[in-house]
This record gives sequence, C-alpha cells and structure tokens, in this order.
Amino acid sequence: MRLRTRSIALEVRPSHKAKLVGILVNLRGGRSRGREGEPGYYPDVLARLPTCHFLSLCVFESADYDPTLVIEANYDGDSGPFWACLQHLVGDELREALRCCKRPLDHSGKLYDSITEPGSRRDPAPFLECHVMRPKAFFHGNRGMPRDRILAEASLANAVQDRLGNGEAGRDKTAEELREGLRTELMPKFPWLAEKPKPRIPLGETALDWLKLAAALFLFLHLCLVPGAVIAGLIGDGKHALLLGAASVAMWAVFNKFRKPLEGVSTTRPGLLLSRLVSNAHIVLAVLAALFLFSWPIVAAGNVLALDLEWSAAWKNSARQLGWGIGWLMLFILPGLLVWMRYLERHDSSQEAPQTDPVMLRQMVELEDWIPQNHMASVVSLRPNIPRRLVAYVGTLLIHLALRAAVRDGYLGSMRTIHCAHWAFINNGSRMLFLSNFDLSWEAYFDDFIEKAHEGVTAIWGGSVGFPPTTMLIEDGAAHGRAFKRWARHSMSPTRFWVSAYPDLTVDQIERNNRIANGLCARRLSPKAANAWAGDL
Amino acid sequence: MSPCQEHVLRSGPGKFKQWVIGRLRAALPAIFALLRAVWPIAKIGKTHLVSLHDDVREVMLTDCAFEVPYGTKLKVLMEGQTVFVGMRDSPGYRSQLDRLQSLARKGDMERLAAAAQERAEEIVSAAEGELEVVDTLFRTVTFDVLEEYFGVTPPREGDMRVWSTRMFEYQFLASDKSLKDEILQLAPSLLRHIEDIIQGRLANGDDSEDDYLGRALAKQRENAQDWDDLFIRTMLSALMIGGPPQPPMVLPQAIEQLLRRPGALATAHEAATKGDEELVFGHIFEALRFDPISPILPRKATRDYIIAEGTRRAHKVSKGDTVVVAIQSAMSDPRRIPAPKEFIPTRQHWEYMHFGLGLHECFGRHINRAIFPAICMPLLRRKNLRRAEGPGGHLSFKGLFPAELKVRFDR
Ligand code: HEM
Repeated sequence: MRLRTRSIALEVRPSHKAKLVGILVNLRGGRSRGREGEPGYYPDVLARLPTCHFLSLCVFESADYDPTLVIEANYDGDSGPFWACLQHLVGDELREALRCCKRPLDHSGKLYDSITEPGSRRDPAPFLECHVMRPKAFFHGNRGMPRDRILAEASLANAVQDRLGNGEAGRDKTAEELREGLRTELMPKFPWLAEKPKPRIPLGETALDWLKLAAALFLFLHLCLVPGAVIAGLIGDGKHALLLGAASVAMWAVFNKFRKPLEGVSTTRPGLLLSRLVSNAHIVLAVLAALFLFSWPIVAAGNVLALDLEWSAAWKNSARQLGWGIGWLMLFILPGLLVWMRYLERHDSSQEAPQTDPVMLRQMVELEDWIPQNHMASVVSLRPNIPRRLVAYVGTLLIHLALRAAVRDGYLGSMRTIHCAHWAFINNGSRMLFLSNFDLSWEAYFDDFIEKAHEGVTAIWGGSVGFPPTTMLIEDGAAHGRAFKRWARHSMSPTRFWVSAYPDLTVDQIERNNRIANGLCARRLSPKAANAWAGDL
Repeated sequence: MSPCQEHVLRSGPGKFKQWVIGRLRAALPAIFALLRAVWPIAKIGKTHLVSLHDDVREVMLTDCAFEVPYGTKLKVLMEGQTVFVGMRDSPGYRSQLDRLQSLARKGDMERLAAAAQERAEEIVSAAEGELEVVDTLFRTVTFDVLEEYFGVTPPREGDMRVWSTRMFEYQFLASDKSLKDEILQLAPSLLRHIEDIIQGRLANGDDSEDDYLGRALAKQRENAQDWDDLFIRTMLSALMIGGPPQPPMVLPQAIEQLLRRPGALATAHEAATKGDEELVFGHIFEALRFDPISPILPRKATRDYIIAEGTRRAHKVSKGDTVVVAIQSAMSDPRRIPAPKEFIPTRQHWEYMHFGLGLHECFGRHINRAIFPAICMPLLRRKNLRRAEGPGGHLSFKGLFPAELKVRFDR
C-alpha cells in the first residue's frame, strides 16, 4: 500500500483567525486521552483514521499575507476513504473551520457555500478534495512501510525484547539458535512470521522512479540542445566554431569573475559546485552520452520530416547538430545560467534578523519535544525573478525525482531523522510550504540540516525571500547556521493539532524493527547473516 | 419448509419471476458500479437514482428537502393516525419520537440480548444437527423477545407473525390488490388486539414496568394527555410492524453470505466461541453489506433542490420528484469505502447505512445491535457449520422475503 502525502491550504478570513485557532486547539484538548494535552499522542483519533501516519492542522500567520489554514496528511492507500474517515472523525469541526476560511473565487465557491451555509449537513470531504495539493517534492524516511506493518513490527520487537530480558536468555546460544528459538516462541502470537516479507519497494516502482528521473532530465537537457542545433543549421562548422569559441571564452571570463562568493558570504570551501562536477565527471560524461544517444533518433527523424533528407544524411546531420548542441550547452548555456544566477545572488537581499512574534515562538516551543518526534510547518515567499522561480520549480522537481530514485534507505546524506516531509507551492506558486515530521528536537534537526545537508537545503530554499546569501546555487545559504535557523523559525507557525501513528518510534527504530522482523521471518539464516541480525537486538 | 412458514409469507411470485428477482439481486453490485462510473445520478421520468456515497449521504441528511413517502400507507394501517415514521422534521415528529425514546431504560439491551441468546440456544440445542434457520430460529426468537419487550402479547386468534409481516410488506414493499384486501382485515385486528391488551392491563391494575407498554401506562398515570391510549396503541403497533419482521429477513441473508465465505465464517465462529459479541455483530453487518435487506430507500422532494451542487455532476431535482437512494451502492463505493470488495468485519460505523441515516435512522438500531449477535451466536458457535444437503441448503426467497435456509452442524 502506497504512502501518500497531501496538503490543503486555504486562506482564512482575518477576522476569524482567533476562532479558527480556538477550533484547532479544542480539537487537541478535547481529544487527547492518556497523556492529556501532549501533541502527537491520540490513540482514539488514530483508531478512527486507520491508514494515517501523520496528520497536522495549523494556521499560518504573517504580516505579509492573510492567515492560511493548512491541513497535512500522510496516509496509506486511497485518498477518498481517508478524507471520509477524517470527516467522520472531525466533520463538525472541519465545517466550522471552513466557515472561518475565505470563500474560494474559483469553481469550488458553490461547493463551499453549500457546505458552510447555516444548517448545512453536506459533507466537507468533497470540498477538501477540490483543494488537495500533491507535493512538488516529498521524502519518506521509512519508504515502503505501511502503518500496519510499522506497528506490527514494533510490537514484535517489543515481544523479542521481553523474551530476551536482560540478555541472560541467549547468552550461551549461537545467533541462529537464538533466532530460531525466538521464531518458534513468537510464531503463535505473530503468525505472519511464517510469511515471506513483502518487498518494500517493488522492482517496478524502482524502475519507474529511475525512468521518471531520466525522462525529466532528458526533457530539460534536450531543450537546452536546441540553440546549438539551430545555429548549426544556419552557419557552417568553421564559423560556428569561431562563434562558440568567442562566446564561451567571454562567458567563462564573466563566470570566473563572479563565481566566487562575496565578502562575508563564504562559509564553506568555495567552488563546491565546480569541484562536485569535476569529481563526478564520469557521471556528467555518461549523462551527455545518454543524452546524445537518446536525442539522436529524435533529431534525425526531425531532419527527415522537416528538411526532407534521406535517413543516412539525416543521421549524419543530426549527429552534427547534437554535437554543437552539447557544445553550446556545456560551454555557454550552463555557465550562462550560472552567471545569471550569480548576478541575482550578488544583488539578493537576505534577512539577518527576521522578527519572530514572541507569543508564536513561545507557543511553538511549548508544543515541541513531548515525544521523540516533532513537527514543523513553514511558509516562505519566493523571490520573483524568472530564473529563481525556475530553479525553485524545476529544481524542486528534479531533487524530488533524484531523491526518490537514489535514496532507498531513508538516509539524506548521513542523517536519517525524517519520517515524512514535503514541499508544495501555494498561492499560485508564489509561496513555498514545507511540512516535516521528524525525530529529535527542532534544534537538532536543523543542526543536522546545516551540517549534513546544507547544499540540498540551499538549493531548495535559496530562491526564498530573506534566505541567507547563497553562492552558485548550493553553496553558503543554509551553512550560515544561526541566520538560517532564525530565518526558518520566522517562517514557521505553531502546529495546533498534530497526530503521529507511532509517536514512540524513530526512523532508525522502525528500520531496526524491520530488520529484526525480516530476520525472524526467514526459515534459516547463514551464521554471518544471523550474527548481523543479532547485532540489532 | 415448515407448515407455519408456509403461511407467514405469501405464496410469492411464479418461478420465473422469482428467478428474475434473484438474478437482479445478484447483479445489483455490478449495476451500481456501472451507474457510479457513468451515470451517478440517473434520471428516468420523475425518478432520480442516486448511487455515489457522497450524494446518498447528502440526500439522506437533507431531510428539509427530501421527505420519506411512508405517510399515506401508514395512515391506512393506523386508521388515520399519523406516526413519526412518515413525518417531516417538526415539533410533532420530535415529540412522538422523544416520548417513544423515553420508554427505553438502562439495562434493557443487556436483558434483551440475554433473553434472545437463551431462546436461540434452546432452539439450536434442540435441533439435532440440522436446523431451518429463517423461521425456526430467527423469526421465532425475534418475535418472542420483541413481543415481550414491547409488551404486545400474541393474539389468541390469529398470528402476530403473519399480521406484522404482511403489514410490513404492504408498508414498504408491495401494494397489490390481494395484499391491500388482506391489510384492510389485518390492520384493525392488530389495533384492536393492542387496545385489548391496554384495557386488560388497566383493568388488572397491572403496574409492572418491565416492558414498553407497562412503562407507557406508568407515564399515562403521570401525564394522561401526552400518553393517551390512542397514542400508546399507535406507537406499539408501529413498532410491531416496522420491527420484528426484519431480523428474520436480515439474519438469514447474513448467514447465507457467511456460508459463501469460509474464511469469514471461520472468524465469525471464533468470535462467537470467545463470546466476542461486538465482532460477531461486525461479521453480520459486514455480511449484509454484500446483500442488504434494502438496497435502496425512497424519498420525495419537498422543494426544488440541486444534488451535488458545486460539482460537475450537479443535478436538479424538482419539487414532487421521487429520489431513490442506493444505500447498497453507497456502502460499496470505493471512492469512500476502503477496500469495498473485501470482507472486513471491523469496519467503522459510518461505513454502513443498513439502518438508514439522518432524521429517520432506524429507531430499533440499538435493539438490533443487541439481538443480532445474541440470536446468531448459539448457531455460529457450533462446530463445522455448513449448508444442509439439497436445495434447502441455499437460502431461498418468496418475493423479497427469505423463505428457507437449512444448515447442519456438529453437535
Ligand atoms: C427491533 C426491530 C426494529 C424496529 C423496532 C425498527 C423501527 C424503526 C422505526 C420506528 C423506524 C423509523 C424511524 C424514524 O422515522 O425516525 C425505522 C427506520 C428504519 N429501519 Fe428499523 N426497526 C427495526 C429493525 C430494523 C432492521 C433489522 C433494519 C435493517 C437492517 C432496519 C432498517 C431501517 C431503516 C433502513 C430505516 C430508515 C428508513 C428510511 O430512512 O427510509 N430496521 N426502524
């Protein structure tokens, strides 16, 4: 069953903000059982949302825009049943919350009216579905693990721990004997141990991930080949070489002049992007070769159709066009885009001391660190220039596809603390929403970001208003640790209602439980594999 | 088929017609799936058939625009008296319902469940490994315990099971002439019978409050105006017509569905053996989702209204039109119901509409919740529950009424 991540953002009538916040806070107070008031622990809610991993509701408040209600949901399986469950759980509250929102100006206005008019009994789910956003990028730390499996494996791991007690139980046994003993003992309570565990990421899904990444890259790069190919059609090779040579030398000269960080901006080793490109030259070459090979038949067919050439001539002509296209791409277009970006970076303003409302800050802090997990919700405005927006939209998509294809074990760099996180664009793409469910404290989470993943973070948020100064897309930016944290806090709002289906489990624990369960499902393990398995106990 | 079964149900349509009804019933899930996909709000003449979960809920919950069409026939049955079952939301409706609800007492459901289970156990134990369940088990137990609970004792002449079942059929399912003629005889008999019971209890000075009637008479002593004899007899007769005929329809259909699913039957057996009545009820309700007693419910538009307003399928209904809500379709609409094709006995309450929804949601739902598992548990507890050999081993119908289902089990 696939884990889905969705969010809904609705503008709130400013006069109704306090009422809306009250509704969400009541939802929390009125519903938590057991550890009263603690965020993240709502067994009654979770029983009625049987596919939900994480759910949050918050109201974003800022001087720059009217309050915005955001509902975030991470759930297994189909969407319709999930929204139906939510509506049956908190339908009245949802209707009241919608009454605090602005009437949408689009086609959903009528639906809004019929749901919010006095005495209406119409279900709110269809309206929510009208406004559901698919994230532009998302990340799942325990990919391929449905909620039921996470919970079942956690209860198995607890049972194993109970059996082992203080470790005496398995002292004089080999790892395999210990494993077999536990398997036999636990099988009656966990009959699924007899089944072969389902693969977490099926082969087809993996193939599709890589295919999507390849297709997006291909489309983007293929478009970048057009200028070179067109010029190749207009002038001969000699003149073309002279033109490209002159243009690229000029571009590289400008690029070289601007590529270094400005004074006071550099935090990391300068030239990170270039050194990354050089150290991964083999990948760059392979991508270019693939680009050439896949583009060749397309361009050749274009030649046959547009220029009426024979196929043999078309192959030759298209190879020449592609060669020039790649030349322009590498020597002029990419450096040109970077120069443009550098120009913007040198003139961008960044906010050194953004003001965070002390009351909101206190509320945020009060809601954090009750359980091993935390939640954060942030909205930032995007800088208006075209290349910035382009990087934000296309870059986020490419980063998403790359993460999906390449990260299978939940590690972002060397950090593995994110359960479910996602980015979405709201308000006609002028703002970026970020919602994350993570392990440990907010401070530790951001320290991790700053130390271990600041390049990716800078690439995604670099185009946001007030973000610390960046260099060459991925350098500096988030590496300005304190400024980045201040900026991030300023963009956040307290999460008024938040539920986690497994509030006591970290991403690492879920993975460990999965290894223990997989080991116990196996009929037999080699001594080496059994020892590795026992290492998790 | 037992001889009394023979006369509780009318003789039913001819073989061919019965076969067509059976085929149609079996094809309903596919028909509804098709409608949901291509014509979610179908209109034929002045009748609109609503099949999506969202739209069914909308119609059922919007009682200010859609009323139940039961009033006219109810008046025939009640000699002109109006009953809340056929009324719009109004102070009169609320007053009747509130008064009737006030008769229920804490502990009633436990008592009913215990009585039903005891009676069912007697019958199942007495059967020597083979039992016809529709009449012998389900109808007998339901009528026995509900007559006692409502305080409507069986008549000396005539058969309450026949009276109730016929009148239920007339009220909700059929209007043919022979049935109408029969009803004109039976309806007054039921009313006179209840009046006699009331008079008998008043004359005897019987002030026990074990049943609805006793409690209603106690209320009468405090407030004669709200609890006059006419009101009490009308309410009791509505309950006898709307209530007891239904479990003998519902439960055989549920058992038939379980017999078709060995996995579900095994978990139902396990739950019954453990005494987990909640899970047994879950099995019965879930089984009914695949063959509900009422796949559709009728409504009449009291004003012009747009169903699914604001969506692409927005559909206008004019005042006076008939709207048929397909609750069977709503309960298997994959847009809202998780895994509708799977048998999941632990679904949430909202996934079912067997008892209707909104203003006219079944008055007897708590009673049913108590007696369904209680009646079925003694049977489901039996080992190796299976169909009897021969045609009796498969649920047969007379019209829309389950007629016979024979099962076998190890003693
Ligand atoms: C103890 C037995 C029962 C009694 C006393 C009883 C009584 C009633 C009454 C009085 C109403 C009308 C409620 C109102 O108008 O406010 C009603 C409605 C209803 N009942 Fe029952 N009932 C019983 C059993 C059942 C059973 C077994 C089912 C089916 C599983 C059922 C399904 C319904 C439905 C679907 C409605 C709503 C009809 C509509 O909205 O058009 N009832 N019941």
